[in-house]
Amino acid sequence: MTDRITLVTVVIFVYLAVTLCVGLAAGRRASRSVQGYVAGDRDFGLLVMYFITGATVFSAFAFLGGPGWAYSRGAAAFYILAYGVLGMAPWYAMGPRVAALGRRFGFVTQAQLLVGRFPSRGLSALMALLTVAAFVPYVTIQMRGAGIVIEAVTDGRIPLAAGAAIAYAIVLVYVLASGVSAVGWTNTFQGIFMLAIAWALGIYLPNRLYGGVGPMFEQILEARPELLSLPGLTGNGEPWSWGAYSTAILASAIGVTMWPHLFMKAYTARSDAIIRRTVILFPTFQLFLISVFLIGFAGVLFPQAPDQADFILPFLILRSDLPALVVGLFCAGALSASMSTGDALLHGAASVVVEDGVQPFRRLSDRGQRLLMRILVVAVGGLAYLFALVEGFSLVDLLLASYGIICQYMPAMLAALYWRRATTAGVVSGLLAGSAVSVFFFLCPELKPLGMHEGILGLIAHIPVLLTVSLRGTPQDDEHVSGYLRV
Amino acid sequence: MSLRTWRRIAWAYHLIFAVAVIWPVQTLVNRPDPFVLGLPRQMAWATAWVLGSLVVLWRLDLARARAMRAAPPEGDG
Repeated sequence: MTDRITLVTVVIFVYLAVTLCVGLAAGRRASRSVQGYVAGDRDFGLLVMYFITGATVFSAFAFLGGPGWAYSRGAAAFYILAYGVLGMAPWYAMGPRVAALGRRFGFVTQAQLLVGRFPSRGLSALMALLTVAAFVPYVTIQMRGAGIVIEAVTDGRIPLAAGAAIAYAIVLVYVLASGVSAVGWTNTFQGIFMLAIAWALGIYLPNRLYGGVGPMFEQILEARPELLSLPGLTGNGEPWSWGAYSTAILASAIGVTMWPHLFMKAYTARSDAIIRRTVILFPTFQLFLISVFLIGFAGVLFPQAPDQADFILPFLILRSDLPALVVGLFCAGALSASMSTGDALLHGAASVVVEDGVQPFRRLSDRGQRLLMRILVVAVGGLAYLFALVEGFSLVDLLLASYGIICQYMPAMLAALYWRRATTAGVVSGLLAGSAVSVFFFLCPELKPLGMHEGILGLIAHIPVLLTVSLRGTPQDDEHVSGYLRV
Repeated sequence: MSLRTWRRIAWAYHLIFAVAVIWPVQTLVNRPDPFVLGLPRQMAWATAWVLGSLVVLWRLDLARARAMRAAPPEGDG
């Protein structure tokens, strides 16, 4: 047993070393400017854009949280399958428009676009604050995911805290050295790895344990029918509400559309056609969730159970009869999922703080910006690491909390791109109202009507405020507005 | 069909997709059996909408490419 664990550990460390080399090598291609560090000199092709989009959305949350939900909450997990494409499809129209504005005005972040249309340093600072508030829990998810995998495969010899620290020390090194180029190329390497592993495991486990996918679901339907009926169960095993299920889909779809790091990646694309093709191909990435759910469902009737639902994937792999080398590769696939999202988020959070939180108030030199971004990559990573050590929450719950905040960007961004009559006061008021309502219901979940997601409740307050304040204010200068609407 | 028609189809498709996977429409597709390719029916339902999105967006892109060949660019999406 010890030899097996040692071999699995060796495979994982080899994988981490290869990832580090890919990340460091990638940075040698990019220029040493802020554009190079944040936007990859706007030179990413289809392959990298495809994986950077897929991998920044599919993360430890999908690879560990997805099976965890299928295993413990059954059909509730299907919401994850539904929302991704709904969130990405609007990018077919919006992505090229965002990229064109980035090229025209030199934007490298989402807030720069919004503040360009609605000039306000306060709005810029607010966006920076909200983005970091949403990114920290999301990075926390990724770190916990990496820690979970390493703790499980080493049989507890490397605890979650140390495992997360090792994986993210490597992420920090390549993000600090190479910026978004490292994120792009490591995501490509990790994405290919992750897809292959997920499908292999999703097909293997049901066949090995039940004799096939159909027989597995037949047995689950016989023994645990409540798991195969929507809207599934809550974390406590109680029936989930339709209000919560439906609004989780809507809030998450809006959240995907509005993730600040997706805007930043749109600025990295070499051409509009590449953005459109990335969106068209996105459903192929989404289908990988099927394999992820199959892994989780395979654990339902397994005789033993892990301590936490999120551990189900490594738990099952380690109890399969697979050779140690293959087990190591599977666990490396899960690490890929965690690190490929975590690196983009760390890089994104640091870039947003500097470009949107600092630059509008104090101009820094190109070199100063890059230095501060690197310091902030470490600071945000450290903060997320502290949260990652706290027990007692699920990966998916953390993600849903992040989406509540990000949802509030949607009315403001649509107004910036498509609504001539929107004003700065309207956008700021709407954002403040929506965020306040969202945070209130996050803190007081028992008050949510019909169990609705706090992000959707925030939007119900946000949109009327934005419309009313904008329509009552003085319209923006026509020439200024046309620069954003006629792209 | 023209680019404009395909744009409308794409928007309509994704709107219907959103409605189809939430309450109350999803309650009409809430029995796991009969299984579809071994998957519970609700899971196959969501998967079918995801695949449909791939087809609709691909056709929209073809229409866009045709329109771009026929006339100079006049905007995105």
